[in-house]
Amino acid sequence: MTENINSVGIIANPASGRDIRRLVAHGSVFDNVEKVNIVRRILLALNNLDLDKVYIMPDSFGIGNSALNGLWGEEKKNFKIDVDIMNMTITGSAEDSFNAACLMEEKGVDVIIVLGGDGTNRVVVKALKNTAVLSLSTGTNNVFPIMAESTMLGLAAGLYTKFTPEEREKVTQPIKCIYIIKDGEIVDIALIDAVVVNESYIGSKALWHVELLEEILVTRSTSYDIGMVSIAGRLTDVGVLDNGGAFIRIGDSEHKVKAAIAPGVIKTIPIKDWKKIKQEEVIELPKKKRIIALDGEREVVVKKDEKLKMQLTYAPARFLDYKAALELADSKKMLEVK
Amino acid sequence: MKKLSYAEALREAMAEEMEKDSSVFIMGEDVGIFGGCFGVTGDLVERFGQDRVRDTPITETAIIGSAVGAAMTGSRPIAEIMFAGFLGVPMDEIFNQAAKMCYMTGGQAKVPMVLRVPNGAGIGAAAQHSERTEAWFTHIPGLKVVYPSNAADAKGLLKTAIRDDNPVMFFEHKILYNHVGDVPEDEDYVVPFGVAEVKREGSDLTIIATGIEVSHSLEAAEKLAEEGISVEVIDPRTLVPFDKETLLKSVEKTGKLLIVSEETKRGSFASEISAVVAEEGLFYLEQPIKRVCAPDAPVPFSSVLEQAYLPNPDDIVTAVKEML
Amino acid sequence: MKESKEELVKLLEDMLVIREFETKVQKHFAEGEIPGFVHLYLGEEAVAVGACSALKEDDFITSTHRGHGHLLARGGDLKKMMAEIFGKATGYNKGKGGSMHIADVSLGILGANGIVGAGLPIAAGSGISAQILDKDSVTICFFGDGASNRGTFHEAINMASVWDLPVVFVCENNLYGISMPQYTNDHRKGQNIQDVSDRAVAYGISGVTVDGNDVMAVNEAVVEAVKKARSGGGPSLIECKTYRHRGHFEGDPTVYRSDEEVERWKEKDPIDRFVKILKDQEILDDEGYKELRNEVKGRVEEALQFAQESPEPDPSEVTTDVYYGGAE
Ligand SMILES: Cc1ncc(C[n+]2csc(CCOP(=O)(O)OP(=O)(O)O)c2C)c(N)n1
Ligand SMILES: [Mg+2]
Repeated sequence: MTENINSVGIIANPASGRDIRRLVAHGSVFDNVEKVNIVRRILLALNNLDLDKVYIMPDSFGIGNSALNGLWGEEKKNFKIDVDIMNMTITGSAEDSFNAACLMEEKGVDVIIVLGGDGTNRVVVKALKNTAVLSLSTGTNNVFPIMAESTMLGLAAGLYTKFTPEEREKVTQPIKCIYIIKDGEIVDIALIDAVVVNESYIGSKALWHVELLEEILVTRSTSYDIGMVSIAGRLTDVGVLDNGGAFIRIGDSEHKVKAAIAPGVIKTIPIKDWKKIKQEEVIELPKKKRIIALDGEREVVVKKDEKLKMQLTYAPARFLDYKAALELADSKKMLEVK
Repeated sequence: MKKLSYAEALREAMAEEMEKDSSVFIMGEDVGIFGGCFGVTGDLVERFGQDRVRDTPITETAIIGSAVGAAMTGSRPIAEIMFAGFLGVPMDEIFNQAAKMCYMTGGQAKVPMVLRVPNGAGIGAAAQHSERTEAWFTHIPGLKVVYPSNAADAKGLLKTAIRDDNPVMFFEHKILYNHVGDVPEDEDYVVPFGVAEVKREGSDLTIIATGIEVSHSLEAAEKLAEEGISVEVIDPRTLVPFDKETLLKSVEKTGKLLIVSEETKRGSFASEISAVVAEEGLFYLEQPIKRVCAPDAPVPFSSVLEQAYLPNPDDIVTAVKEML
Repeated sequence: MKESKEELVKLLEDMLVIREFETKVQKHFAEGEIPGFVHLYLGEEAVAVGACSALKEDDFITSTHRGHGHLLARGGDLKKMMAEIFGKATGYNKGKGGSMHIADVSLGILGANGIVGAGLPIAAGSGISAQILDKDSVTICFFGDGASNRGTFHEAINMASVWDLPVVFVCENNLYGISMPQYTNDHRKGQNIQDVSDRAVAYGISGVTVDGNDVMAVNEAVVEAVKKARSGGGPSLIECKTYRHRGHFEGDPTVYRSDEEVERWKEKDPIDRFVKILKDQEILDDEGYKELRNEVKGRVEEALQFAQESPEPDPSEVTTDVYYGGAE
């Protein structure tokens, strides 16, 4: 870790925003040209804050380079930040986001701006030990990242790099997550929901056959979030910042709720039973072959004799509340020009 | 018999076939409520609905390509391309797809489609909207090429074309659209492909003409008759298949052949006709074959230039006199 | 959705048939027994199989120059196919089509096309037929990433969208059109977007990108798109990211891609991956897999023998079939 260097990382997932939910639901398409625009706006915002360095994850589309190449005229002349499109192997898979997050943390970035959906954020948070994330939604069906103008996120991230540790604590929030534990080993995490599905393959990843749902563990339960977590929203209230979560079993029952499981898709779900669970509680699941969907995407294959547990816990990383950061900066008159 | 214009005769042919066979449909640019650029489809959309009289986007390639697909899957599309000069756009769909599908699949695939095209000059539409492209398609095995010269043939040939199991290039002359003629009323009236019509019998010289040049030739023959010259006029009606027998028989009788076509001369269908006679009827000829065609230049815009460009009855009279 | 053991094993079997068939073609092309150009489907098996298994009997497909896999996935007769590739009289096309035009029209295959991108308007037309003839058939149009740069792509998808034609446009993005990469970070590229599916938005239709080396991912997407098309929801564009193991055609020295790239993609081999899933799920064991492979090998061997022993076409056949049903 290099001291006294203000730096921000940017991870933009080129693959987000075009999965099967455009077909099985009414998800919107988020093309890569728009991701380039977003990154460029973030860079321009950061450029105004005398930042030392910006690291960008390389990707096969070349989002970072395109963002820089699109600068021209005065903007280009005045662009002073040292942008490092990191030197790492591109695999074209989620591994890239994971590796980039690890590398950025090694370089000591203060905050990583993530462009992607729940899936991208899940991978990034999984990789981090202490760096804050600021996540902007570029997919469909997302709960974790926010929707906001990227210029403001760029400013917030840049200002955050100049905060004291106490201030940083104040403008960030803890991130709840679920550990997926197979035969005693943590194999993956979920940020919003982990769903047990009676299926045998991962296929196109997204989850929409609700008749195959069996158990759902959620880290939050609000009346307004979309996705599998929407089922929990009907049953109980657990805020993003509250301790604890909920566990629901689906199946033959008189008790049915309507849930918005995907954009434009509202399904009736029978609730067998459900309960609130405490922070750090471990849920043990019956042994059988199944697929676990993490944050709406089929990810983990469980064989029939593998022992499966899930634990509700906190991820080491924290989430940057960009509004709080901007408000704090203004209260400190950080954007006043002398 | 009833009096119909060439355009009305075409419309009637389509209407009757659409009435009879629900797999027949029309598509093209502005063929619906607008009635077709030359009014040929007229009110058909009111009678058959938008599903069967389809207004397409400006999309020549997809019009022909999709006609091929529709034809291969049980429909009988009648596709209209607005002007023969636009046929360069969907050329692949015509000569690589429509024409070759049957052969390439070893006779498995049938492509029963008709491609209707307004052909010819004479309306001051200049070079790109006055093309005569029939010869291009006679060069392509797998296509049939039809070119009616009057209302009755227009109807009878179009009905045959719609019923044919092969792709048919159906050329219509723009100037002829308003020509009125006697058309048989019988619903089963059709004109078979490959049968030329001797439009006028004569003994001194044979004229074979296509499209609008059939009328011009008949007019010339009338004038020549006043001077005691007897001209036989043949209309092949379909260029592929081409009725060689009728032509060769006539040439055997008269010993002289004049070919009249509005095409530019070089590489024209007129050239093909002369080759056929040179190959199979050379010794019937008493003197060289003559062709009256348009000069090898694009169609000019100015009326003066356009009239100078197009073969007319006087040109035909002059040519005949030169030969006698 | 495919769940039963039979359905899943059938998908594997169909992929194996393509793998074995193409491997045989590769070998006998190299030995000089097959004339002309041969474009193999090796490595892309999951696309044809995942997509065709979403269709009913009276549905249609349009195929491409790389079409053996499409016809095989649609249930093509191995003997007639191999004989056609050998140019024999007993082939599907009586020796008049060959590798690039091999088709069984009775299986709803609207030609395999030597003109890149020609299948798209034809597929749209097949969709029009469904409307004109009031049938619920759906047409899958296979085409490459290279083809997506042709005007036919634009015209056909636009038309299909305007009229809600029941067509599923399946783009086999194998990253190259001959030597031209679909997308790179420099100027030598086919298009300036990485995902062909991005273009769907411009036509007002759904577009998705799936892992084309995952037969289940392809199948799920195509099943949904077919369902949508059949129920009047119009066309979709499904981009399957995949890779051809061989050169563009047999004999291509492939100077435009690295061995490491090929190796990386071979690690994502669609058959190996699916076999692993089936084994993990205890749907298939080593013994069963071996049996299946041997059985498929046997069928392909039989087809090869049939082709080799079949007579050449009679020269008098040159001018038949120019017109349907006989002469001019
Ligand atoms: C209209 C046309 N242009 C060029 C070619 C030559 N050609 C044959 S295959 C090919 C590449 C096609 O690439 P793609 O569509 O990606 O299909 P792939 O071969 O990768 O499966 C080209 C350029 C052709 N056959 N047709
Ligand atoms: Mg390709």
